[in-house]
Amino acid sequence: MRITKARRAAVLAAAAAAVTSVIALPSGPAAAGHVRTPAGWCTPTGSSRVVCPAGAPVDVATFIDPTAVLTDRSRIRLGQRVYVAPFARLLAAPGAPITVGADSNVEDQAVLDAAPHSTASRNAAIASLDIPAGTGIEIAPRTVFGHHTSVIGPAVIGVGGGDIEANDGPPLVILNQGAQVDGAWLEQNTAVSVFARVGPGIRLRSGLQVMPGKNVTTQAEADDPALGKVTPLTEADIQGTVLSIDANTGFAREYSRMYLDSRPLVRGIGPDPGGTAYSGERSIPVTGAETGTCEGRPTLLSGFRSRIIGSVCLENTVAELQRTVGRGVSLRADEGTDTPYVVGEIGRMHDGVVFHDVPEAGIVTGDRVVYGEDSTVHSGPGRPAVVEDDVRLGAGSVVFGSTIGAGSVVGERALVGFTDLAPGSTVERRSIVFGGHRFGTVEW
Amino acid sequence: MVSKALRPLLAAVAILAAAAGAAASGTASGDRPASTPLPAPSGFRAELLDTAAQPAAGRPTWTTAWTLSWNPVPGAVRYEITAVGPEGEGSAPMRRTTEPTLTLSVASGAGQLPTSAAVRDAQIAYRSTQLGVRVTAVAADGVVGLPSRVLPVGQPPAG
Repeated sequence: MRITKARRAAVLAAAAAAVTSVIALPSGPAAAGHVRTPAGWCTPTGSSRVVCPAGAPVDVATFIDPTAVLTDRSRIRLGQRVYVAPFARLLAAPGAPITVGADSNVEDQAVLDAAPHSTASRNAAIASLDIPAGTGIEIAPRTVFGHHTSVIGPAVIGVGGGDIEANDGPPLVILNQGAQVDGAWLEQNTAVSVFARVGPGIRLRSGLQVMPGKNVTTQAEADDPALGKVTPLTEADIQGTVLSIDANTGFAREYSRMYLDSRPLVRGIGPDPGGTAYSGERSIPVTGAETGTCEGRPTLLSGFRSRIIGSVCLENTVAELQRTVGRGVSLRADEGTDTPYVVGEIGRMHDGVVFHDVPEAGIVTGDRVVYGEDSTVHSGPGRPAVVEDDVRLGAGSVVFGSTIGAGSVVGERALVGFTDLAPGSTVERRSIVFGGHRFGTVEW
Repeated sequence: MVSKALRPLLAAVAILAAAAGAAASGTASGDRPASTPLPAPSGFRAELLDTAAQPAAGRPTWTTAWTLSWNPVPGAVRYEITAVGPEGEGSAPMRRTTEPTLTLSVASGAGQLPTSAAVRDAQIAYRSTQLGVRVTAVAADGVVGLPSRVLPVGQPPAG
């Protein structure tokens, strides 16, 4: 049957009605005590493991998703309003603590590893930074760690340097999707773009941004834009980072509120927390949806091994998802809840896959798509992410505000941003494509 | 051929386009009823302007500004610009202006243009994926009008 425009509109309206069914829940207990350390820091131990510190008012509470992995928790200190997303890893150790300043966030599958295995040459390079012994990983307030980013300690982020012309607000730092800081020091008002890296012993100065895919391994590369790896931060960069900070402090508040309402709601397949400017009411995922719609079974399943959050409409049943979806997957529709994710029959979704959205953009995926390990599907400002039938996304690849035509192959750690790929296209591994043009390659 | 999974998206686009069209064709006059919001701004156009900047370390530098303009909305006393990025939309305007125009710096670097044109173009292409803006007109009584669609910074408006 031909799908007419009127029919499509009716389908969408039905889908929207299905996913916006609000969960009727009793109001949670009012935040009781006002347990705060004098400096506003908390340590995520004991009853403070999820909402930190326990009993904090939600407006200042830090939220740590229950799926996040925290080691040596007594050596982790978190400021107020920090959001730690599903499957993030904060790995502290004796002599290697982790400190995360207020209003920061650690996104899905991001890793802060304070005590990695190191080598003599790496240690020698890092020594030039004069990071005090026992620092581990120190992160200043207002630092954003995007999906699949990594920090390998020792590292200092957002400390030192000064104000910059492009930012007339408080200082900030951002690491975009897949970026890495390895034994380096980032001053305040710096940025590491998607798939970029700052290597051991490097100090990135205030006002500079490492460009996508670049690997900064010498101080000259970090300091001199003429060498092609860094550029000055612009107002546009600052505004985008401020948005991330605002969005994620909102998540810290609203996920804390939802946890206090009912603890199982922040596990497995569950609702988005609502309550933010772009997600007013809580919505729940739908499984077994009719093709291309959200007409299916509203599903809450706290025991599911991955996280499926909010208005996600999956054609697969829960039983099918148990077979096809790996571990550490985070399909997080907590932001663009006005446009549900419509997910066709999954070919295979490997471990660590992340879906995330922005308002009024949406994510639509077709049938028999294979999602490689740690791949990401993300809408962009004003641009949906569309992955058509029979696409293969390589491990670590990123689809960002783009359409990937049917049968296409996106190579490992490739990024396709704001690009519409024709059916049957191939994107080479480690390619960076923006606006239909090849921007460069991931250098590491 | 349109995949079955894409149909809802197409429907969403159709609905949004219809809504935008309805908003754009709505009555726009200064004597509107108090409860009627102003229409969404329309007629967007954009330009990029390269400027030589303060030399640094003895080398020339440059910046590129993106200026977005739109048709004045009758009855509007100001416009609010809200930022939209990969992690959400601003809860408060990032900029307010009485003129129907917005200027943002979107690229900068060292060296001479046009030698650095490829660097500039790459920066703009990247930043357009990281930030968009939405424009809203505000009436004299403070009522905020309908928002425009999201416009990626650094790019010419589509459509």
